[in-house]
Amino acid sequence: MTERDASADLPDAAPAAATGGGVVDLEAARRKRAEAERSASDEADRGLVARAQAGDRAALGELLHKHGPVLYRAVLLPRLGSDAAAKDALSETYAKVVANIGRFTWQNVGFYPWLRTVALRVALDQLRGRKRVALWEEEDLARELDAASTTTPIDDRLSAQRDLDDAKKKVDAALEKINPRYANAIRMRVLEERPRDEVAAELGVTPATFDVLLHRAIHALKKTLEVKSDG
Amino acid sequence: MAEDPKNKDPGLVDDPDAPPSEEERAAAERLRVSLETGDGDPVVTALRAAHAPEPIDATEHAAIVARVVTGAPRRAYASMADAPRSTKVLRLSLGGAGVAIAIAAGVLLFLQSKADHEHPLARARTTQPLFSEPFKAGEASARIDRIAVARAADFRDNRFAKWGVR
Repeated sequence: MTERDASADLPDAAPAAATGGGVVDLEAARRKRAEAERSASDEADRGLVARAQAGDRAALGELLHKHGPVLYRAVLLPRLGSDAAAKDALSETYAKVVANIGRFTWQNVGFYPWLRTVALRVALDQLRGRKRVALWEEEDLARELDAASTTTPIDDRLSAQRDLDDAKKKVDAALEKINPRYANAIRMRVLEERPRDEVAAELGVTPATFDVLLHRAIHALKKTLEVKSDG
Repeated sequence: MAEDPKNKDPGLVDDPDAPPSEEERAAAERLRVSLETGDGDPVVTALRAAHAPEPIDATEHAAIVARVVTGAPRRAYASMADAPRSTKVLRLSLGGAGVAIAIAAGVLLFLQSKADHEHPLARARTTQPLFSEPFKAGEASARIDRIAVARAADFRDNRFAKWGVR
């Protein structure tokens, strides 16, 4: 089976995967199809960017509709730590895009990397301007911005996945700095959202004692994050 | 354990098994309630936002895009989250109306632009192509009827194109 055949018949090609050659074909076909999808998506974006730069606001709206949700979930929300702050940043990012779309130059890496850089700048400004609880510090974001402007942009989906993975690593790194028992309590109750009674039983304490344990755990974490309050 | 827990700052207890003070118990209860009601502690919110960020609500995102694209005033989410409840209710009501207007404007803009791009509108033009031979005297009504039918069709097509349903 050629790559072209495999790509065309991907859903029916599963039995071929049982053989060694089939696995290779299938993987190659999958890559090829993903590449074709990316290319078509980039081409569509290019057309929308051209229309947006000619003053077509609806085209600009389509671009934001397409990329905004990923930007919000993978970049802004983890870095800013609250949905309100992330929505403000998203709004601000869009306003900057509207104002600066004329300066954007298409460089065959798509629209998302540029949008992400704008969003990182906005997020950095927010972190500087307001004191809030967040796992990212200004220096972290400044480093990410440097990386965004000096390294070759990667595929949108890969970039979003990498951002999500980085966010999880930030959480793990923060939890490693506190007492393992505190970290466990936070993991089970806050991150995994398991029922209070179940977590208390697993930690071998009463629910009331667990409440105190979790409270101490959150305070310990707050200290390591060097939380600065608004007041 | 040598130190009286009552003398400690509730936030400064580093021993998971130390007996809690009354203040600590009260703070722990507040945290328990906030976790159950979803009215989150900022650290909890930040942790969840980084560990498993929730996607943005599609309607709310559409409203943000529409607001920016149509140039409507932006809404301040963060300051609203910090506002007292009564203020929130008022802002939510006004915000809701604003969102509805922004979405409507965005949809209209989108449809209008789409229609303009995909279906060029029929323009005013000569009626000559409607007639292959000259009308004779007394046939004015038939001529007007033919023009009216053709222009009514144009008008209908244009309207459908503007609505984006052609």
